Amino acid sequence: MTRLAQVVLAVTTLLSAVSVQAQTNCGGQSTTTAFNTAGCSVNHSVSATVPYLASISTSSLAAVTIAAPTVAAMGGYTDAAAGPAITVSSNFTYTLTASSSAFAAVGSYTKAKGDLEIGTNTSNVAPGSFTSMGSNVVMSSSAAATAASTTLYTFFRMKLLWTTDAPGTYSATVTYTLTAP
Amino acid sequence: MLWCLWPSQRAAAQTCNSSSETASGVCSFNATLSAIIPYTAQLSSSASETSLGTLDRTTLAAGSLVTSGPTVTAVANFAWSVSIKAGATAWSFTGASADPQKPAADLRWRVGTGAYAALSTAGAQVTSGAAGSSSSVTLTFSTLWPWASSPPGDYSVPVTLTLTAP
Repeated sequence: MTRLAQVVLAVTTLLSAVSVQAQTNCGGQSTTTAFNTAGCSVNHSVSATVPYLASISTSSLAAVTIAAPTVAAMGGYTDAAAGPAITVSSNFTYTLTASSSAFAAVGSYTKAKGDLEIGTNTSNVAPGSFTSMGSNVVMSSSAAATAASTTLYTFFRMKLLWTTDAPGTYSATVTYTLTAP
Repeated sequence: MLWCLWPSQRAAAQTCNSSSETASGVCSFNATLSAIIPYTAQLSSSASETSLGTLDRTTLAAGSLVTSGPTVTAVANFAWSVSIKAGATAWSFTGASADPQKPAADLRWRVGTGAYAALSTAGAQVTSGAAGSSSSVTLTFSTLWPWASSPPGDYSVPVTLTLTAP
């Protein structure tokens, strides 16, 4: 064998060693039945790591405007205004909460953030009950991961007080948070 | 591979009394050689594992992940076929959640641009060849990852490639 041939053989052998990770040599049997019974297999595995994954989205980031109340509503509540639809996908059991910032001051008056109330529904229809946002509101507790995403429709209303609610524009920021219990 | 060659008669020194002995002093004997070539094959995979790595939200949102699998090379001195099958009915799982019993069939495979087939414990033909022919095919895997049944954890499924004589 020439020197060149030896080098080529060596390189070829090295390449083969790199590209083949699992190899089996089979044989020695005199019949197909015996060969198949002896078996000629290589094992392979497919693996993956799945971390905690979730996706939360809103149908709109536009400000929600609650219609100006009528006189009759004072002392009660505004009409409910539709907020964004919150869509969640998760591969673990989760809790979805909503929290509100304090209202921006109107003059020297700061309306209590608990005067803002939120209600949720799985359909786009205002719910029968609302919860004060004075503290975090659990929108969905220990919700199991589902085959498809889960959507919650939000609605807001504001408590109206004759004595303190001066004319003006009241605004607050609502934050939606998904956590693993 | 072990092949044996041997003469049917011993080649030890003998007194030449054969009828072929000639006046010129040449003496010859006939010796028969026989060789036994058994069923012989070689099967290899370019990798012992296909790692899908750490999945992300995009994968779960899409519901599946396509990954290049190993290149399988086979050669035999007889007509052959290579099949693929799952070594278990479900993926193994390690995680804090309950085992989702992810079906082995969530791993789908194909060669070239063919249709994907679900992996099963029954096995399915991947490729075949004639006696003496060598063939290499590259597998492509498409794995299903739905949100609901993919809790956080490590997953693995054993795959067996087998060469058989039809």
